[in-house]
Amino acid sequence: MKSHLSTQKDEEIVSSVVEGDKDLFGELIDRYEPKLTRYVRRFIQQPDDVSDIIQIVFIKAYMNLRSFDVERSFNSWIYRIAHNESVTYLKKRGNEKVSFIDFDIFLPHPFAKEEADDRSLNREMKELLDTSLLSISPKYREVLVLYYYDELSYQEIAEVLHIPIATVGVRIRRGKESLQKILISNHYQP
Amino acid sequence: MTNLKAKILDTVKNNTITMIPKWKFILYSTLGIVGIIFSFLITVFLFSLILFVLSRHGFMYMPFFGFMATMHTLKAIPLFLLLCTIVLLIIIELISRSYSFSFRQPLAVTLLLLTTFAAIVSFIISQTGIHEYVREYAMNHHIDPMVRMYDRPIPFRPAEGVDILRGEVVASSGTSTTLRLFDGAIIVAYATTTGTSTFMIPSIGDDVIVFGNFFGEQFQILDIRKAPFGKHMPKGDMRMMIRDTDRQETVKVFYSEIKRQ
Repeated sequence: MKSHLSTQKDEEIVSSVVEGDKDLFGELIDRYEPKLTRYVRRFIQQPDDVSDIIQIVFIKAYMNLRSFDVERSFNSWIYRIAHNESVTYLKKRGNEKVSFIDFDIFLPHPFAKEEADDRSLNREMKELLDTSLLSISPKYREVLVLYYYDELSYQEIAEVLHIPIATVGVRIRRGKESLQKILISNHYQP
Repeated sequence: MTNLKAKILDTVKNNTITMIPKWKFILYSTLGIVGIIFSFLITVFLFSLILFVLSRHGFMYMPFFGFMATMHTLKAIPLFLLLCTIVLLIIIELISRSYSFSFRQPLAVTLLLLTTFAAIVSFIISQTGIHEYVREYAMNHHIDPMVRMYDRPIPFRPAEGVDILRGEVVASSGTSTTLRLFDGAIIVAYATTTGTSTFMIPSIGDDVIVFGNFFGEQFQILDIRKAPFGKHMPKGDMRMMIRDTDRQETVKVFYSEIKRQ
């Protein structure tokens, strides 16, 4: 049974849960709890708050399961819920400044093609990403996390954040530039 | 099994939480689309009303008379209607942002497409008889706020020496022309010229635009021409107004008592 379950796609499991097999929802929790916990921890430090948010994410996912289109990616869909809950939490705590106009999504950008070796970061950058992620803007932090840690494609990140694909490329580039600046300033620190 | 998993499965099996029925999502989605369509229709109505009012009272044709006159057109745009249109466009954009066809495009692109589409549809509607019908209906049923929407706009900080009238010629002779304006006002205009007049003498039924300025009770005409897209515009007849600048000839219009019909 377990080996059969492990080969089933997320979307197939969702269809089964919607049809009445509630136990199968546990399989989705097994698959996504570690990933979503890692993702939310990049934005929220308190462990209790993190587990509360993850619980809300799965509850909302279950309640809204009938709205999910099985032709689309469940991965993007559940990450979208996690993103929304994280943003709501940060706004309530006053950590996140509400910006009514985001120029990243306002103006068109040249489309940045996703390259196969884009995910490779040199050792220094990877260490910097681990240690300095909290130093960069949440707007860039979330795309870097989704791309380098959760290994989502540009298309999937666009679906999670509800932004144009070209904007994903722009934010990844700018996020890396922010990290470069931190790297340079760290090297010049006495 | 983690604590979290156990907790969630427990609430699921006990029906403490249940799946929202599919029909509710269909309903919300339908309401969203209906909201977008309804807002778009109102936007188009208001925008076409602005175009219609500017056209019927002549302000739309100010650009034919120069750049400064164009500014007068902009100042004549009814601010309240314009603000309502802008607010509705923003509402449409906000509602549509939750749909993938919208968020996949930059905001500037979707706003531009939406505004352009609304402007084209509004222009088409302003050329039909819908607004004449709506105004007549409002007048017959005494819906005063709606009737007032069709009144001649008062330009914001009007420029000196710049004004425009549009009306149908109801009487014409060699020395006088009587115009009925869109709001029913009657203006008697007559020319006093020496030598050969180079001004167009309109025929009865002509839809004309008269450009000039008020001096107290008098409206001094600087230019007069047939209205483009006017209902009495004979096909192919694009006779232009020529003003004799050397002799500084002008046609004096006496703004006599206004009679509303």
